[in-house]
Amino acid sequence: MAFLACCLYLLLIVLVGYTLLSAIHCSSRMTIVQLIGLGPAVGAGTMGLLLFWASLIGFAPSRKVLAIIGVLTLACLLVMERKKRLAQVRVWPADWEKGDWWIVVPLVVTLAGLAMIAAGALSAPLVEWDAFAIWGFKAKVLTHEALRLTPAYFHDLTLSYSHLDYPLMVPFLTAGAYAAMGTVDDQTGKLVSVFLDVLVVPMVYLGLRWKLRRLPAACLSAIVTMLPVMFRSGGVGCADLPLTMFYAGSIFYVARWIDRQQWQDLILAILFSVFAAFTKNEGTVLVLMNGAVILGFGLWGGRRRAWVGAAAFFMGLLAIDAAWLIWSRSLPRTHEDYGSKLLSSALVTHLPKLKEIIPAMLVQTTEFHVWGLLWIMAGVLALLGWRALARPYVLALWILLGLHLMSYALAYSVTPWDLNVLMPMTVDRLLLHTVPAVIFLAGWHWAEVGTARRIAESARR
Amino acid sequence: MILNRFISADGRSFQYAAWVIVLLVLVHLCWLQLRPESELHQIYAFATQSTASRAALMPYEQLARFTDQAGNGNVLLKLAGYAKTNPIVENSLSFVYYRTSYALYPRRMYVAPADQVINNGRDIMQVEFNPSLQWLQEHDVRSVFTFGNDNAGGETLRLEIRPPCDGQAGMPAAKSGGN
Repeated sequence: MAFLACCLYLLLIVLVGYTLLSAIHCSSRMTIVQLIGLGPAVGAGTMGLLLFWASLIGFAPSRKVLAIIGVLTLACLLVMERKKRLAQVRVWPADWEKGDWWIVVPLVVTLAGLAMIAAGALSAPLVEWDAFAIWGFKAKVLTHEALRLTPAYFHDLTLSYSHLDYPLMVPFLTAGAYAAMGTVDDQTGKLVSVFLDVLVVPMVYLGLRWKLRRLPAACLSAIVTMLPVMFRSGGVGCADLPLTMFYAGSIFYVARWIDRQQWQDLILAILFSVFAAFTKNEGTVLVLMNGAVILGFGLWGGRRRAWVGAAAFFMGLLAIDAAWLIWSRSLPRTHEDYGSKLLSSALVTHLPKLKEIIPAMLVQTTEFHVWGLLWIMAGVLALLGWRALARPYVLALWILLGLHLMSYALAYSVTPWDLNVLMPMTVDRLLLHTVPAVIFLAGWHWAEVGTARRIAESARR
Repeated sequence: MILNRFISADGRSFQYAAWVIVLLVLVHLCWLQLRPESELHQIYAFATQSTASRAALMPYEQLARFTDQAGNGNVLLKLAGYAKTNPIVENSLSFVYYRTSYALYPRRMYVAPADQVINNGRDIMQVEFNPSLQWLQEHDVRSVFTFGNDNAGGETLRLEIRPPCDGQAGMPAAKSGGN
């Protein structure tokens, strides 16, 4: 019964996402992958924010709150259906090519990998330390109390180990599942974690499919699924893969905005950026980088639309994230408090530590039992498709990846923990956040391999 | 310009090279999961409730039993014997505190006054928390978990149930324990 209730809750998330996507892309056609990947990703982020806002005004996640969200969603769907504004799902693609049948092979590999992640997750309660000490604990607190009168938990320093100031996207989504089930059952509740974590694969596929044909995009997506680090982090109940998933969406739509200047892309870039910032503190830094890159390329292009886009990005980010920023302002910071440390002058004194940190991060990328040959493959594809560097969106992604890695290296430099203990424990999880950027770069460079020949052939014709 | 001509002359070979490396990476990743020590084998072991996975879950089940026995009130965690000073038990102490706090919520496990920052087992050891009976009553503490090791090496978690109105904090009315 609890399992069924949890599934209904996930269905509600999918419906919320579909409704929002239909509102953004009026009357457009949606592929199956957009329906099962993009829709649920947008729905999950939106549901997390809705539950947070409801809690702020005094309503902790409950069946009543979920029912209200469900009724409102159905009403929106009904209105959009009447106005013929619902996105239509395109079951059979118009551009199917003969060789695309080979897609079955990477698809089977992907589905098998995801099924194993789900099976592993659902066969045990929350056992990963961070999962129960940080994320699961917060989910329990949010299930029991609304945020209107800040629960005592958030100011109890004896619980400082659970990082009182961490963002609440994953805890709220889990609390929503507990509310739907009517009980705190963390084993069944891990269905939410599985749901969020496996969404990273369709999100990556969408980004790759933008520039690649079906088969290569499916092969690269299968590579992401089969990464050992995916099996380690998938379905455990932590926020790293949800952050990776939202971040994948944010950089994909930032790149598309830079390339095409379509408002729909900017709206989705803003939404995914907000979701990422509300998932982990790292997300806040990453979305500021997204904004800086949008602004930088806007200045470079000199187009008014690009300027306005950058302003809209920051304003949208601030407007949607304002409630969290204001509410969390008074929370006690842990002794880590990377935000303050990275903005203080003390950062300069820690810079020499980079001599130790950067090589350790580089060595990590060559750990085959964690990453396979992913990083080497990305480097080789970038070399083979070097022409892609002329594309502004590829350049933007390289800059984002560079800033991303630099921010993590700097965070390590100011950490209060012993680096020799901390880095082996966390570096694979942090580098996992960069996987969407790495795989997009690999794919988008691959798309440019042999372009000169194709251009020459088409010119001869 | 030289590079450009080179690539344009041999673009098809580069396409093949790209395919070869991608397929190689995919096959390598699949092979990695076929090894006995792979993540996939570990997941399979958990999913099929193997002996090793049951053993890994035992500490969680033990703490779950303890929290069930603790009843409706809050719990005090006390250190005994070598556990008060032995750095070897820091990690286990952190685990017990984190896990029990999670399992008990909305009930509480107290290890220090509310204004004391606790990030790990070492912080708990340094506090040496020993609240008065009045404090325990005010905070509705009805049970005491004793985390201790009676010899320099091993660790033993003992649970002592404290009746609501006995004369002394931690007075054992019932005992259970395990390793």
